[in-house]
Amino acid sequence: MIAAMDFPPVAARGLVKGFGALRVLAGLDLDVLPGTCVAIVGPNGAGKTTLLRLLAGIARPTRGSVRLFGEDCGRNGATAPVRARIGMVAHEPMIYRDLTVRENLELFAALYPARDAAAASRVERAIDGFGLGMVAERPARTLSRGYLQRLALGRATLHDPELLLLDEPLTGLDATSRDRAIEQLGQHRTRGTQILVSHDPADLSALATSIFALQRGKLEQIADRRVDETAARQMLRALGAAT
Amino acid sequence: MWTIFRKDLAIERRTGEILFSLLLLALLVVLVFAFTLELERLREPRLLGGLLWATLLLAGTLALGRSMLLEREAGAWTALALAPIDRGSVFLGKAAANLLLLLIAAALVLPVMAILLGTSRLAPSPLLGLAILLGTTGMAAVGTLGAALASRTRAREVLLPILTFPLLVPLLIAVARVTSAGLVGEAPAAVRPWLVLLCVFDLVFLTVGWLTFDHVLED
Repeated sequence: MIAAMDFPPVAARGLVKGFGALRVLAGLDLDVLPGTCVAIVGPNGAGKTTLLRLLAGIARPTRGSVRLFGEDCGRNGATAPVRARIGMVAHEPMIYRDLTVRENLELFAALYPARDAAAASRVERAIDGFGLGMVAERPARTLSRGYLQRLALGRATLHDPELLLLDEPLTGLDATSRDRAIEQLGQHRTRGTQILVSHDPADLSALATSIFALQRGKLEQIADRRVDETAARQMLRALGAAT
Repeated sequence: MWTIFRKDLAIERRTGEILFSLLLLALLVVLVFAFTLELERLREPRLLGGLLWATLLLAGTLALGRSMLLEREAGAWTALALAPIDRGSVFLGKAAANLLLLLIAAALVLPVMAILLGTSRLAPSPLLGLAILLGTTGMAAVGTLGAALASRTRAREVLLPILTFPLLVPLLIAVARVTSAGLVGEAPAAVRPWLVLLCVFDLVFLTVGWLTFDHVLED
């Protein structure tokens, strides 16, 4: 899949996003290459979530351009074919609490075009991959925080997206689920690209292949390779972004 | 569109929240009318049409607001915005589900209203069914779009009626006339201009909702 890409998954230039008088992003540039996991760190309110929404093509910048897979998504948002290549885990699980786990996954599977013959079984794959079998028939309203996060991960990876946007994806997971999620995300990275937002040095160490700091609306690269947990913690402390 | 429609109905089947609150509120409004207005005048069949739509407007507004909160509750709204589907079809799916709930409410509220108010000399004709279908369609279209816009704000409960009531005035005037005519067995020809107005209203707001929902779903 990576070799078939003609354009980088993400290329942002001069990205500005303001809310009234507040300027959250101030001329930010970012290029993300296929097969990488770029982590974005920064203190609360730095604009990390806003940046993820812009990179998902579901919010529009005040100025600047966002190109996703070569398509300009800044002015008019992402088109449906581009959105089909993106998955997202956000603060909220982005599911329906009154539907069961299986119904949620079936619903979102139905909203995405099947890319291959195996697509029919992608709900089962998500249930197995993130250990949701025990709660598959339970309404999402009754799930614990950890199970909700697993469901969010299952939903986001259901259509095997080429670009996965991850906002604190391992929050609330127990050790076993966390290892399982890291393994699943690692497998995804062999076929696609990830952008990670996290305050957790363990997450950064396990997932990120490079790290950028978001400060005063701009990005600065602070690591161009994998870092261990201690180094990640020091970076977060230096930025005032440690939990 | 049908995926969204089925999803909304599946949630409603499981919780019953919207239909139950819609019917309960409608019943309360009918009781308020019965206690505060002259019962003798309310028994006039021609008044029943206006009372029905005033009741559905008040109860329906709250119910439609609730239907959009389902989307906001756990961020599902963002997942819909990200899905590679025509966003206008999200509007049409939600409007269709809301239409079905309003139709059920109208079908249950009207006879209850007639019984509670002691309305006699009714001669319902097929025109009544047409009036209810056109009226609830317009109400679902405006209500769904208004609820989606209002749900983006903190003052959503207040904003929804402020947004929708003025837009619904022409619909209410027309549909009350047609409903009253349908209740006393008048021919459609007698209310043709009002029927045309209802059809145009529905078409305009279904089209506006379908075309603008792309922007409504985004930040």
